[in-house]
Amino acid sequence: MAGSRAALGAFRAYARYVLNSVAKWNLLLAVLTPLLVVYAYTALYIPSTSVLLRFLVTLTGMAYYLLTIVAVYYFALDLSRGTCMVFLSQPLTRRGYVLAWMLASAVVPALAYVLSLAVPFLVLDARALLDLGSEDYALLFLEGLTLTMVMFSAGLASKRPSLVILLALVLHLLLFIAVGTVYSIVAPPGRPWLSRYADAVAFVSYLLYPYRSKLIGVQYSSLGVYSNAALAAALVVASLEYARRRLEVSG
Amino acid sequence: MPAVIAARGLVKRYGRVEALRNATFEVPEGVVAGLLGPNGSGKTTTIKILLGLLRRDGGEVEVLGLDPWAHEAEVRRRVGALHENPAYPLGERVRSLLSHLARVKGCRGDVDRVLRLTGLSEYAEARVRALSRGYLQRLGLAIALLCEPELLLLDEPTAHLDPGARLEILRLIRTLREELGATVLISSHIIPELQEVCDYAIFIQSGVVVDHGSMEELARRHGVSASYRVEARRPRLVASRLVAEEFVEAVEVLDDYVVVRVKGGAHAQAEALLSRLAAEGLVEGYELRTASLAELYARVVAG
Repeated sequence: MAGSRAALGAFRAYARYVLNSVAKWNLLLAVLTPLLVVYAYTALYIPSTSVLLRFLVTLTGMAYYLLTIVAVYYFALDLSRGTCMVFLSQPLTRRGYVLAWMLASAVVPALAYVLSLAVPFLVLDARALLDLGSEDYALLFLEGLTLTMVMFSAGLASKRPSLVILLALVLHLLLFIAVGTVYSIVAPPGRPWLSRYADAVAFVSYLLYPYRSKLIGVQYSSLGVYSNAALAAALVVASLEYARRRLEVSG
Repeated sequence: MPAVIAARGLVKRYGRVEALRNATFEVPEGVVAGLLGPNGSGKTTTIKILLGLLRRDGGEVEVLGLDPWAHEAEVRRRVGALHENPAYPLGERVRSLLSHLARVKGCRGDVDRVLRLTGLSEYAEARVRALSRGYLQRLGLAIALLCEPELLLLDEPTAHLDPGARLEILRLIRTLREELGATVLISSHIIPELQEVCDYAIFIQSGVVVDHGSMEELARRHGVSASYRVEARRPRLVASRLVAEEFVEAVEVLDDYVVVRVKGGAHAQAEALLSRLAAEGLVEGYELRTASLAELYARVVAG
């Protein structure tokens, strides 16, 4: 009992340290997003609040994704440089260490993003927030969580920050463009023989990009969305189990 | 004495390379033990396994009665470690880093004590990146000493230091042993330094523990020259009797005792003579204090 309380205390203290070390990036988002909201709301002509909100969510969503990439990069850097050894020589479990970085990479940026988007709207026009619908927000965070966890797992297993950056480039940009392009080729009406391919591409698209797929008009795939959620959960569990069973630390 | 560290048949592989091969040794409570071996012999791997940072591929290991891989947090709560080439967060201030680590270890109020003990108080507000190599080593020791650990694992504590800094670190290790009474395991390949602080030695070569034991046991087993501390009523007279013997290399009179250094393989003769002197009432008692670690190393590892 005393041992588990001490382990919990060690985890809380380390999580606080990690969150402090990535705080400046969250702060950047927390400042940038409200500025963009105020600027767009007051200076740009946009026909409706729902369009305005979608534009803002997409734009600032990119900053949120960037924040998750930075946090995962720092995590892989901590493992590759061996800085982790300093803290893992204290009564911090390997799982606690990984969980603290998971919070810093996936959960805290999402919270920082929600708050930085919601607060200025609450001041300017609270009702506008409801124009987008809760599903859009859920899909955005699901997409952020899954892509973050893919990068996080790769960083954990490889301990290579350069792989995280490469994967971020591929997942967030190249693969998204590729999936969108393939879908645009196989999906047009009047080509029924391609429809089964369109369904498959839509599934892949929603598996990886549930929010952005909807934005670019990919036919909704509920299976893709559910699979996305399952993938995120599986990666969280797998990362924690990997930490418990196999994570070794060397300088 | 109960064993603070017990390893039996320890195996560790890095791919095809076997870093530890069936390593078996013990470290009793309260000793300063030297883990000696050439570079690449498996010293750092051993220390990391003892801390639960590396997973063993075979054998058994217990640190303070616990498996360090399975009970990592509990073991690390009771153990302090100094790593060979630690990568500290360079942007942190010394006090801030120690405070974070003290919070993780559960002793927030211990920072000033370890700063004082390691002579880092002046540099408490300096950034880690501004510290010289010697002061980084002190920082490592300060981290290891947080929360008064029962066991200290020090990996090459004097590596890359100038002679002055080495002496200071060794002095500090001696002080720690005397003041804290902790068991210490020091990994090093610099023998003269270990000679000054160790009373127990583990010799490792190419991942194999070739021998281990107290200096006394090792000196007897391998017949190397050794020093006896002889308590005497009339030290000068005892010294004059000892110096005449062929197997005695040197005699030094210090206050009310005599330090006599005898040649390798002459322990039995030396002890027989000391017993005779005791029977004559000249010697009150004697004990084997230090063996020549360099000679032991040459016999056990090199020879």
